[in-house]
Amino acid sequence: MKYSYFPGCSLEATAQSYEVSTKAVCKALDVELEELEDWNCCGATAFYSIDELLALSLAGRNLALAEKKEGRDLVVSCSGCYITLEKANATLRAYPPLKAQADEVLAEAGLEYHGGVKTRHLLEVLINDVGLEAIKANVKKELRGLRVAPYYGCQIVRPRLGFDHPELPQSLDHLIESLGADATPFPLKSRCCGGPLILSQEKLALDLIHELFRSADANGAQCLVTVCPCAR
Amino acid sequence: METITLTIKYVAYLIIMLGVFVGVWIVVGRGLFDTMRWLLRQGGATPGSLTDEVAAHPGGETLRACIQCGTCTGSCPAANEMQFPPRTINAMVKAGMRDEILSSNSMWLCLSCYLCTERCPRGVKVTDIMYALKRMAIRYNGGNYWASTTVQERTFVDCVNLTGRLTEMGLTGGYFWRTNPLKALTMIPLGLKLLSHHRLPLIPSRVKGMRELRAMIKKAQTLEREHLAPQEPAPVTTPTV
Repeated sequence: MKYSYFPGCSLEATAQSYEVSTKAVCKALDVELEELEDWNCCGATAFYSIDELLALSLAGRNLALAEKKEGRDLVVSCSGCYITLEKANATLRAYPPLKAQADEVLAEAGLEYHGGVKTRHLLEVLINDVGLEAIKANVKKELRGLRVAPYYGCQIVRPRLGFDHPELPQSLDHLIESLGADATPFPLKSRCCGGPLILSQEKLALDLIHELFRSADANGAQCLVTVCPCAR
Repeated sequence: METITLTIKYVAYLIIMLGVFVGVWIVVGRGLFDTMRWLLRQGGATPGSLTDEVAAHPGGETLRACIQCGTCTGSCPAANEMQFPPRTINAMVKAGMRDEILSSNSMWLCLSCYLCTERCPRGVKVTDIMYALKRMAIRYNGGNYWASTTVQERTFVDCVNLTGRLTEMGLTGGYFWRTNPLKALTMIPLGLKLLSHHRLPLIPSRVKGMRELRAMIKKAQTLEREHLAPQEPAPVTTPTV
């Protein structure tokens, strides 16, 4: 299985370990990732807060570059980038006047986007394309006895784009269990951690993070696993 | 005699260092590198009601379906910090309270977690409305230009407009320069820790096609935001649960 791969800015910096593990796991499971050439920042929440046309154009540039590799899905490890690119896709599809303007902007870079790229989160690819059975078969050392709280964060499941339940998802739980560990109950598993405002609203973000840890701890978790480098 | 020359030398060094510190603060902090300043010149309300203005933004047209049930405010993790929580904001938009909303901190505290949108029984895209209000605020008064979240988003945008990708140093460095330079000094221990774990690249990675990207940004500046003109209200649909 061959995919285009979008690392995103955080995987090159503080979340480098996420990129290392992504590449290692994909190699072991025969998932071929080819990094999207000359990708740019997806724009995240910041651009959409300042100017929607620029935000859609930035995301659109990545989608246009990915579309060049026909038939290949775009795999993203970063939940923020995943949702930003998918939202851009959906918005461009639903609002033709904006799409027309975005097309004009992309034309400046000699690019075109026809809406043909599907952005997928690495977790969803592992569950749906690789399959839990294949993952289980590849386990060399089971994580027996490890109690893990699965933290999804908000961006991978909301707004609802068809992947897992928007408030009480189960995919990461299943993945953890296929590795032999125990996925502890975690009612706040998709509650926001405050990540996007960690710099400007430190107290708010830290309070939210504290609540998450308290919930995980109260349910007997020894550690937390997350799929979002922002939450990380 | 020697002690005097030495003291003068050290005092001179101190003055020069402070000068550089303040100078950089003024240059960087004063928004001279604000790449989105052109947006500030596009202020002014569009003809029609405030509801129409919000409805012109993607997702904003769903505002009309709001029945003030309060599910959004009840779900919002940041509602307590907002001057006006989501339900109130929706009512204020319908009441046309443009100045009060656009000067408030409400939408800037939105974490974009979409819990409100997910749970709204009427299909109101509250998060998208918050984004629309942020963009309107930027055009209205710079979005409370020096408020912490506005500075954070502006710095993010400036960094990406410069090199095409975001770096930790660029974002946090730029953010602290513009808000609280002395706080940057307290981040040094964390910075060193990250550096030792190879989690803090000092040389930013760049997009090779920066020239094309800059052309794109320039083009986006020139395009008339026609979609921001008041449009026919979209039909209101209630989602099936």
